[in-house]
Amino acid sequence: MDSEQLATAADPNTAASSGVPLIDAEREDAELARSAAAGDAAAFGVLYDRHFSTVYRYAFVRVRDRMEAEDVTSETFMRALRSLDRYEPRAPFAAWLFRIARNAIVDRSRRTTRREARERAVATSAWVDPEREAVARGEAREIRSALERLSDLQRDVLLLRFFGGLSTDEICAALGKGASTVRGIQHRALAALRRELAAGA
Amino acid sequence: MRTPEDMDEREARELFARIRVDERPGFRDDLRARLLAQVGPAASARRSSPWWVLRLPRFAVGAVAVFAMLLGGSGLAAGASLPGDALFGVKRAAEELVLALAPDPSTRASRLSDQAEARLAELRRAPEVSRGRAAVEYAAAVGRLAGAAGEAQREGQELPENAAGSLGEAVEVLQDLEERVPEQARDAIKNAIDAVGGEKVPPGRERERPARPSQERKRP
Repeated sequence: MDSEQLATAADPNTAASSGVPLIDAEREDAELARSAAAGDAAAFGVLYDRHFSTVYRYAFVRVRDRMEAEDVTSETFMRALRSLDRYEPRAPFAAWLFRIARNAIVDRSRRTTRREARERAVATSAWVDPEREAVARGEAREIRSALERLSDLQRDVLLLRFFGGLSTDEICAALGKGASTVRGIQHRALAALRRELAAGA
Repeated sequence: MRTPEDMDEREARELFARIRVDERPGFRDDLRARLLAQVGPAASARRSSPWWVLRLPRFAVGAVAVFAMLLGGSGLAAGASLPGDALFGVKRAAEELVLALAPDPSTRASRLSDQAEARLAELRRAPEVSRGRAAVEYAAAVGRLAGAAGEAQREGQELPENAAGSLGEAVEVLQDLEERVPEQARDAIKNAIDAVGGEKVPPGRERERPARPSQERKRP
Protein backbone atom coordinates (compact mmCIF):
# COMPACT_ATOMS: atom_id res chain seq x y z
CA MET A 1 0.00 0.00 0.00
CA ASP A 2 1.52 3.32 -1.00
CA SER A 3 1.34 6.52 1.03
CA GLU A 4 -1.62 7.78 -0.96
CA GLN A 5 -3.61 4.63 -0.24
CA LEU A 6 -2.60 4.73 3.40
CA ALA A 7 -3.87 8.27 3.71
CA THR A 8 -7.14 7.30 2.10
CA ALA A 9 -7.61 4.28 4.34
CA ALA A 10 -6.79 6.16 7.51
CA ASP A 11 -8.86 9.26 6.92
CA PRO A 12 -12.40 9.06 8.28
CA ASN A 13 -13.41 11.92 6.00
CA THR A 14 -12.83 9.95 2.83
CA ALA A 15 -15.54 10.90 0.38
CA ALA A 16 -18.00 8.12 -0.20
CA SER A 17 -18.56 8.85 -3.83
CA SER A 18 -15.11 9.76 -5.09
CA GLY A 19 -12.80 7.97 -2.67
CA VAL A 20 -10.97 11.25 -2.19
CA PRO A 21 -9.49 11.92 1.24
CA LEU A 22 -10.06 15.33 2.75
CA ILE A 23 -6.68 16.56 3.87
CA ASP A 24 -6.34 19.71 5.98
CA ALA A 25 -5.96 22.09 3.06
CA GLU A 26 -9.16 20.77 1.50
CA ARG A 27 -11.02 20.96 4.78
CA GLU A 28 -9.92 24.57 4.91
CA ASP A 29 -11.12 25.11 1.37
CA ALA A 30 -14.49 23.67 2.30
CA GLU A 31 -14.79 25.99 5.27
CA LEU A 32 -13.72 28.96 3.21
CA ALA A 33 -16.27 28.09 0.56
CA ARG A 34 -19.01 27.90 3.18
CA SER A 35 -18.03 31.31 4.56
CA ALA A 36 -17.78 32.81 1.09
CA ALA A 37 -21.23 31.45 0.21
CA ALA A 38 -22.57 33.31 3.25
CA GLY A 39 -21.06 36.56 1.94
CA ASP A 40 -17.52 36.58 3.42
CA ALA A 41 -15.45 38.30 0.72
CA ALA A 42 -12.13 37.70 2.51
CA ALA A 43 -12.77 33.95 2.48
CA PHE A 44 -13.40 34.03 -1.25
CA GLY A 45 -10.22 36.06 -1.65
CA VAL A 46 -8.18 33.29 -0.02
CA LEU A 47 -9.75 30.68 -2.28
CA TYR A 48 -9.03 32.86 -5.30
CA ASP A 49 -5.39 33.40 -4.34
CA ARG A 50 -4.95 29.70 -3.74
CA HIS A 51 -6.43 28.47 -7.01
CA PHE A 52 -5.96 31.30 -9.50
CA SER A 53 -2.74 29.93 -11.01
CA THR A 54 -4.09 26.44 -11.58
CA VAL A 55 -7.16 27.74 -13.36
CA TYR A 56 -5.31 30.36 -15.41
CA ARG A 57 -2.53 27.98 -16.48
CA TYR A 58 -5.01 25.32 -17.49
CA ALA A 59 -7.09 27.85 -19.46
CA PHE A 60 -3.98 29.33 -21.09
CA VAL A 61 -2.93 26.02 -22.58
CA ARG A 62 -6.42 24.93 -23.55
CA VAL A 63 -7.50 28.04 -25.44
CA ARG A 64 -4.19 29.21 -26.97
CA ASP A 65 -5.04 32.90 -26.61
CA ARG A 66 -4.19 34.97 -23.57
CA MET A 67 -7.22 37.19 -23.79
CA GLU A 68 -9.47 34.17 -24.02
CA ALA A 69 -7.62 32.55 -21.13
CA GLU A 70 -8.44 35.65 -19.09
CA ASP A 71 -12.09 35.40 -20.10
CA VAL A 72 -12.22 31.72 -19.15
CA THR A 73 -10.55 32.39 -15.81
CA SER A 74 -12.97 35.25 -15.06
CA GLU A 75 -15.93 33.16 -16.07
CA THR A 76 -14.77 30.21 -14.00
CA PHE A 77 -14.44 32.20 -10.80
CA MET A 78 -17.65 34.11 -11.48
CA ARG A 79 -19.59 30.87 -12.01
CA ALA A 80 -17.99 29.40 -8.89
CA LEU A 81 -18.99 32.45 -6.90
CA ARG A 82 -22.59 32.22 -8.07
CA SER A 83 -22.88 28.54 -7.24
CA LEU A 84 -20.82 28.29 -4.05
CA ASP A 85 -23.85 26.98 -2.19
CA ARG A 86 -23.89 23.98 -4.50
CA TYR A 87 -20.27 23.04 -3.84
CA GLU A 88 -20.20 19.61 -2.21
CA PRO A 89 -17.29 19.65 0.28
CA ARG A 90 -16.69 15.89 -0.01
CA ALA A 91 -14.79 16.60 -3.24
CA PRO A 92 -11.70 18.84 -3.33
CA PHE A 93 -12.43 22.47 -4.17
CA ALA A 94 -9.71 22.46 -6.86
CA ALA A 95 -11.48 19.59 -8.62
CA TRP A 96 -14.84 21.36 -8.49
CA LEU A 97 -13.27 24.54 -9.85
CA PHE A 98 -11.59 22.63 -12.66
CA ARG A 99 -14.90 21.13 -13.73
CA ILE A 100 -16.32 24.63 -13.99
CA ALA A 101 -13.29 25.77 -16.01
CA ARG A 102 -13.60 22.85 -18.38
CA ASN A 103 -17.30 23.52 -18.93
CA ALA A 104 -16.55 27.19 -19.51
CA ILE A 105 -14.03 26.26 -22.20
CA VAL A 106 -16.46 23.86 -23.88
CA ASP A 107 -19.22 26.49 -23.83
CA ARG A 108 -16.91 29.10 -25.29
CA SER A 109 -15.66 26.86 -28.06
CA ARG A 110 -19.27 26.35 -29.12
CA ARG A 111 -19.90 30.08 -29.20
CA THR A 112 -16.70 31.40 -30.72
CA THR A 113 -16.78 32.07 -34.43
CA ARG A 114 -13.80 32.49 -36.70
CA ARG A 115 -14.53 36.20 -37.04
CA GLU A 116 -14.42 36.63 -33.27
CA ALA A 117 -11.13 34.75 -33.16
CA ARG A 118 -9.64 37.13 -35.73
CA GLU A 119 -10.88 40.15 -33.81
CA ARG A 120 -9.35 38.74 -30.65
CA ALA A 121 -6.02 38.22 -32.35
CA VAL A 122 -5.96 41.88 -33.38
CA ALA A 123 -7.05 43.08 -29.93
CA THR A 124 -4.48 40.84 -28.22
CA SER A 125 -1.63 42.25 -30.27
CA ALA A 126 -2.29 45.66 -28.74
CA TRP A 127 -1.00 44.66 -25.34
CA VAL A 128 1.20 41.63 -25.94
CA ASP A 129 4.94 42.21 -26.22
CA PRO A 130 5.54 40.47 -29.58
CA GLU A 131 9.11 39.44 -28.85
CA ARG A 132 8.31 37.97 -25.46
CA GLU A 133 5.26 36.29 -26.90
CA ALA A 134 7.30 34.73 -29.72
CA VAL A 135 9.82 33.28 -27.29
CA ALA A 136 7.14 31.87 -25.03
CA ARG A 137 5.25 30.38 -27.95
CA GLY A 138 8.40 29.06 -29.61
CA GLU A 139 9.59 27.18 -26.56
CA ALA A 140 6.34 25.44 -26.04
CA ARG A 141 4.91 25.21 -29.54
CA GLU A 142 5.97 21.63 -30.12
CA ILE A 143 4.64 20.40 -26.83
CA ARG A 144 1.40 22.27 -27.20
CA SER A 145 0.82 21.07 -30.71
CA ALA A 146 1.54 17.49 -29.60
CA LEU A 147 -0.93 17.95 -26.75
CA GLU A 148 -3.58 19.07 -29.20
CA ARG A 149 -3.42 15.75 -30.95
CA LEU A 150 -4.31 13.85 -27.79
CA SER A 151 -7.91 13.17 -26.82
CA ASP A 152 -9.60 15.73 -24.56
CA LEU A 153 -9.47 13.38 -21.62
CA GLN A 154 -5.79 12.53 -22.08
CA ARG A 155 -4.91 16.21 -22.42
CA ASP A 156 -6.89 17.14 -19.32
CA VAL A 157 -5.25 14.45 -17.20
CA LEU A 158 -1.75 15.55 -18.23
CA LEU A 159 -2.45 19.24 -17.82
CA LEU A 160 -4.02 18.82 -14.43
CA ARG A 161 -1.30 16.52 -13.17
CA PHE A 162 1.85 18.14 -14.52
CA PHE A 163 0.76 21.67 -15.24
CA GLY A 164 -1.95 22.39 -12.71
CA GLY A 165 -0.27 20.40 -9.94
CA LEU A 166 -3.41 18.47 -8.93
CA SER A 167 -2.98 15.18 -7.12
CA THR A 168 -4.29 11.93 -8.60
CA ASP A 169 -7.17 12.00 -6.11
CA GLU A 170 -8.10 15.53 -7.12
CA ILE A 171 -8.04 14.56 -10.78
CA CYS A 172 -10.25 11.55 -10.02
CA ALA A 173 -12.77 13.85 -8.36
CA ALA A 174 -12.55 16.44 -11.13
CA LEU A 175 -13.12 13.95 -13.92
CA GLY A 176 -15.44 11.62 -12.03
CA LYS A 177 -13.15 8.65 -12.69
CA GLY A 178 -11.55 6.02 -10.50
CA ALA A 179 -7.84 6.08 -9.65
CA SER A 180 -7.02 3.13 -11.89
CA THR A 181 -8.78 4.81 -14.82
CA VAL A 182 -6.89 8.05 -14.32
CA ARG A 183 -3.53 6.25 -14.00
CA GLY A 184 -4.31 4.29 -17.16
CA ILE A 185 -5.24 7.44 -19.07
CA GLN A 186 -2.09 9.18 -17.82
CA HIS A 187 0.08 6.28 -18.90
CA ARG A 188 -1.47 6.12 -22.38
CA ALA A 189 -1.39 9.90 -22.71
CA LEU A 190 2.32 10.09 -21.92
CA ALA A 191 3.06 7.33 -24.39
CA ALA A 192 1.02 9.15 -27.06
CA LEU A 193 2.72 12.45 -26.26
CA ARG A 194 6.13 10.83 -26.54
CA ARG A 195 5.16 9.39 -29.93
CA GLU A 196 3.84 12.74 -31.15
CA LEU A 197 6.98 14.57 -30.07
CA ALA A 198 9.22 11.96 -31.68
CA ALA A 199 7.25 12.21 -34.90
CA GLY A 200 7.56 15.99 -34.90
CA ALA A 201 11.28 16.01 -34.15
CA MET B 1 15.00 1.62 -7.61
CA ARG B 2 13.19 3.71 -10.21
CA THR B 3 10.07 2.24 -11.77
CA PRO B 4 8.83 3.12 -15.26
CA GLU B 5 6.08 5.15 -13.56
CA ASP B 6 8.70 7.27 -11.72
CA MET B 7 10.46 7.92 -15.00
CA ASP B 8 7.16 8.85 -16.64
CA GLU B 9 6.46 11.36 -13.89
CA ARG B 10 9.96 12.89 -13.96
CA GLU B 11 10.07 13.13 -17.73
CA ALA B 12 6.59 14.64 -17.88
CA ARG B 13 7.40 17.22 -15.22
CA GLU B 14 10.49 18.32 -17.16
CA LEU B 15 8.49 18.47 -20.37
CA PHE B 16 5.67 20.55 -18.96
CA ALA B 17 8.10 22.89 -17.21
CA ARG B 18 9.09 24.04 -20.70
CA ILE B 19 5.65 25.51 -21.34
CA ARG B 20 5.73 29.16 -20.30
CA VAL B 21 2.57 30.87 -19.22
CA ASP B 22 2.62 34.63 -19.44
CA GLU B 23 0.17 36.61 -17.44
CA ARG B 24 -0.81 40.18 -18.20
CA PRO B 25 0.37 42.42 -15.37
CA GLY B 26 -2.55 43.53 -13.26
CA PHE B 27 -5.01 40.93 -14.55
CA ARG B 28 -4.92 38.84 -11.39
CA ASP B 29 -5.53 41.84 -9.12
CA ASP B 30 -8.22 43.36 -11.36
CA LEU B 31 -10.18 40.14 -11.46
CA ARG B 32 -9.76 39.68 -7.72
CA ALA B 33 -11.21 43.12 -7.02
CA ARG B 34 -14.14 42.53 -9.39
CA LEU B 35 -14.93 39.17 -7.84
CA LEU B 36 -14.71 40.28 -4.24
CA ALA B 37 -17.14 43.10 -5.00
CA GLN B 38 -19.62 40.43 -6.14
CA VAL B 39 -19.41 38.14 -3.09
CA GLY B 40 -21.97 40.08 -1.03
CA PRO B 41 -24.52 40.56 -3.83
CA ALA B 42 -24.22 36.89 -4.83
CA ALA B 43 -24.92 35.78 -1.25
CA SER B 44 -27.95 38.09 -1.07
CA ALA B 45 -29.29 36.74 -4.36
CA ARG B 46 -28.94 33.16 -3.06
CA ARG B 47 -30.79 33.99 0.15
CA SER B 48 -33.70 35.54 -1.74
CA SER B 49 -34.07 32.73 -4.31
CA PRO B 50 -32.83 29.21 -3.51
CA TRP B 51 -31.51 27.37 -6.58
CA TRP B 52 -34.24 24.74 -6.58
CA VAL B 53 -36.91 27.42 -6.82
CA LEU B 54 -35.25 28.65 -10.00
CA ARG B 55 -34.73 25.22 -11.45
CA LEU B 56 -37.92 23.37 -10.65
CA PRO B 57 -40.21 25.22 -13.07
CA ARG B 58 -37.78 24.76 -15.96
CA PHE B 59 -37.47 21.02 -15.26
CA ALA B 60 -41.23 20.66 -14.80
CA VAL B 61 -42.01 22.50 -18.02
CA GLY B 62 -39.48 20.39 -19.91
CA ALA B 63 -40.88 17.15 -18.53
CA VAL B 64 -44.45 18.08 -19.37
CA ALA B 65 -43.42 19.10 -22.89
CA VAL B 66 -41.60 15.82 -23.49
CA PHE B 67 -44.48 13.73 -22.22
CA ALA B 68 -46.96 15.74 -24.27
CA MET B 69 -44.95 15.15 -27.41
CA LEU B 70 -44.49 11.46 -26.73
CA LEU B 71 -48.17 10.99 -26.04
CA GLY B 72 -49.01 12.81 -29.24
CA GLY B 73 -48.53 11.64 -32.81
CA SER B 74 -44.86 12.55 -32.88
CA GLY B 75 -43.96 9.85 -30.33
CA LEU B 76 -43.64 6.99 -32.78
CA ALA B 77 -41.72 9.05 -35.30
CA ALA B 78 -39.34 10.24 -32.59
CA GLY B 79 -38.72 6.65 -31.53
CA ALA B 80 -37.57 5.73 -35.02
CA SER B 81 -35.49 8.87 -35.54
CA LEU B 82 -31.74 8.82 -36.20
CA PRO B 83 -29.02 11.29 -35.16
CA GLY B 84 -29.43 14.36 -37.32
CA ASP B 85 -33.23 13.92 -37.67
CA ALA B 86 -35.45 16.69 -36.38
CA LEU B 87 -37.14 14.39 -33.86
CA PHE B 88 -33.96 12.86 -32.52
CA GLY B 89 -33.84 15.57 -29.84
CA VAL B 90 -37.28 14.53 -28.63
CA LYS B 91 -36.16 10.93 -28.29
CA ARG B 92 -33.05 11.97 -26.38
CA ALA B 93 -35.04 14.22 -24.07
CA ALA B 94 -37.33 11.32 -23.21
CA GLU B 95 -34.30 9.10 -22.52
CA GLU B 96 -32.79 11.73 -20.25
CA LEU B 97 -36.03 11.99 -18.35
CA VAL B 98 -36.05 8.23 -17.75
CA LEU B 99 -32.39 8.44 -16.73
CA ALA B 100 -33.03 11.28 -14.29
CA LEU B 101 -35.52 9.08 -12.46
CA ALA B 102 -32.96 6.30 -11.80
CA PRO B 103 -32.93 5.75 -8.03
CA ASP B 104 -29.30 4.55 -7.73
CA PRO B 105 -26.01 4.34 -9.69
CA SER B 106 -26.61 0.72 -10.69
CA THR B 107 -29.97 1.51 -12.29
CA ARG B 108 -28.43 4.57 -13.88
CA ALA B 109 -25.73 2.39 -15.44
CA SER B 110 -28.38 0.00 -16.71
CA ARG B 111 -30.35 2.82 -18.33
CA LEU B 112 -27.22 4.30 -19.85
CA SER B 113 -26.47 0.86 -21.25
CA ASP B 114 -29.90 0.94 -22.92
CA GLN B 115 -28.97 4.30 -24.40
CA ALA B 116 -25.64 2.99 -25.68
CA GLU B 117 -27.38 0.01 -27.29
CA ALA B 118 -29.93 2.32 -28.89
CA ARG B 119 -27.11 4.49 -30.30
CA LEU B 120 -25.37 1.39 -31.66
CA ALA B 121 -28.57 0.25 -33.36
CA GLU B 122 -28.97 3.71 -34.88
CA LEU B 123 -25.39 3.63 -36.07
CA ARG B 124 -26.14 0.45 -37.95
CA ARG B 125 -29.15 2.04 -39.62
CA ALA B 126 -27.60 5.44 -40.27
CA PRO B 127 -27.02 6.43 -43.89
CA GLU B 128 -23.41 7.14 -44.76
CA VAL B 129 -23.89 10.89 -44.66
CA SER B 130 -24.81 10.87 -40.97
CA ARG B 131 -22.66 7.95 -39.85
CA GLY B 132 -20.02 10.24 -38.32
CA ARG B 133 -22.60 11.96 -36.18
CA ALA B 134 -24.15 8.64 -35.16
CA ALA B 135 -20.68 7.40 -34.18
CA VAL B 136 -20.14 10.46 -32.00
CA GLU B 137 -23.50 9.86 -30.32
CA TYR B 138 -22.55 6.25 -29.65
CA ALA B 139 -19.13 7.27 -28.30
CA ALA B 140 -20.75 9.83 -25.99
CA ALA B 141 -23.21 7.24 -24.70
CA VAL B 142 -20.38 4.79 -24.01
CA GLY B 143 -18.40 7.48 -22.19
CA ARG B 144 -21.34 8.24 -19.93
CA LEU B 145 -21.94 4.55 -19.34
CA ALA B 146 -18.30 4.08 -18.30
CA GLY B 147 -18.61 6.94 -15.84
CA ALA B 148 -21.82 5.52 -14.37
CA ALA B 149 -20.31 2.03 -14.14
CA GLY B 150 -17.33 3.43 -12.24
CA GLU B 151 -19.64 5.26 -9.89
CA ALA B 152 -21.72 2.14 -9.25
CA GLN B 153 -18.57 0.16 -8.47
CA ARG B 154 -17.25 2.84 -6.13
CA GLU B 155 -20.61 2.73 -4.33
CA GLY B 156 -20.13 -1.03 -3.93
CA GLN B 157 -23.05 -1.86 -6.21
CA GLU B 158 -22.98 -4.71 -8.67
CA LEU B 159 -22.81 -3.73 -12.30
CA PRO B 160 -25.99 -4.81 -14.14
CA GLU B 161 -25.51 -7.49 -16.77
CA ASN B 162 -26.53 -5.30 -19.68
CA ALA B 163 -24.09 -2.55 -18.61
CA ALA B 164 -21.21 -5.04 -18.26
CA GLY B 165 -22.07 -6.44 -21.69
CA SER B 166 -22.17 -3.04 -23.37
CA LEU B 167 -18.87 -2.02 -21.82
CA GLY B 168 -17.28 -5.36 -22.62
CA GLU B 169 -17.78 -4.91 -26.32
CA ALA B 170 -17.46 -1.12 -26.52
CA VAL B 171 -13.70 -0.77 -26.95
CA GLU B 172 -13.61 -3.20 -29.82
CA VAL B 173 -16.53 -1.50 -31.55
CA LEU B 174 -15.01 1.94 -30.99
CA GLN B 175 -11.58 0.94 -32.25
CA ASP B 176 -13.21 -0.51 -35.32
CA LEU B 177 -15.13 2.72 -35.84
CA GLU B 178 -12.14 4.98 -35.26
CA GLU B 179 -10.54 3.94 -38.52
CA ARG B 180 -13.63 4.56 -40.56
CA VAL B 181 -15.28 7.74 -39.33
CA PRO B 182 -14.52 11.29 -40.46
CA GLU B 183 -11.59 13.03 -38.77
CA GLN B 184 -13.81 15.29 -36.64
CA ALA B 185 -15.51 12.32 -35.01
CA ARG B 186 -12.26 10.64 -33.90
CA ASP B 187 -11.69 12.74 -30.81
CA ALA B 188 -15.03 11.67 -29.34
CA ILE B 189 -14.16 8.06 -30.03
CA LYS B 190 -10.72 8.35 -28.43
CA ASN B 191 -12.33 9.92 -25.36
CA ALA B 192 -14.77 7.06 -25.08
CA ILE B 193 -12.00 4.47 -25.42
CA ASP B 194 -10.09 6.23 -22.63
CA ALA B 195 -13.20 6.36 -20.50
CA VAL B 196 -13.82 2.62 -20.84
CA GLY B 197 -10.11 1.84 -20.50
CA GLY B 198 -9.95 1.84 -16.72
CA GLU B 199 -13.44 0.57 -15.94
CA LYS B 200 -12.79 -3.13 -15.87
CA VAL B 201 -15.65 -5.42 -16.70
CA PRO B 202 -15.82 -8.33 -14.26
CA PRO B 203 -14.47 -11.55 -15.84
CA GLY B 204 -17.10 -13.63 -17.54
CA ARG B 205 -19.54 -10.72 -17.73
CA GLU B 206 -18.81 -9.83 -21.33
CA ARG B 207 -21.80 -10.59 -23.45
CA GLU B 208 -21.54 -12.50 -26.65
CA ARG B 209 -22.94 -10.60 -29.55
CA PRO B 210 -24.12 -12.10 -32.80
CA ALA B 211 -22.08 -9.72 -34.92
CA ARG B 212 -20.03 -6.55 -34.65
CA PRO B 213 -21.23 -3.50 -36.55
CA SER B 214 -18.28 -3.82 -38.90
CA GLN B 215 -19.54 -7.22 -39.97
CA GLU B 216 -23.03 -5.96 -40.56
CA ARG B 217 -22.29 -2.73 -42.39
CA LYS B 218 -20.66 -2.25 -45.70
CA ARG B 219 -17.36 -0.46 -45.38
CA PRO B 220 -17.65 3.15 -46.53
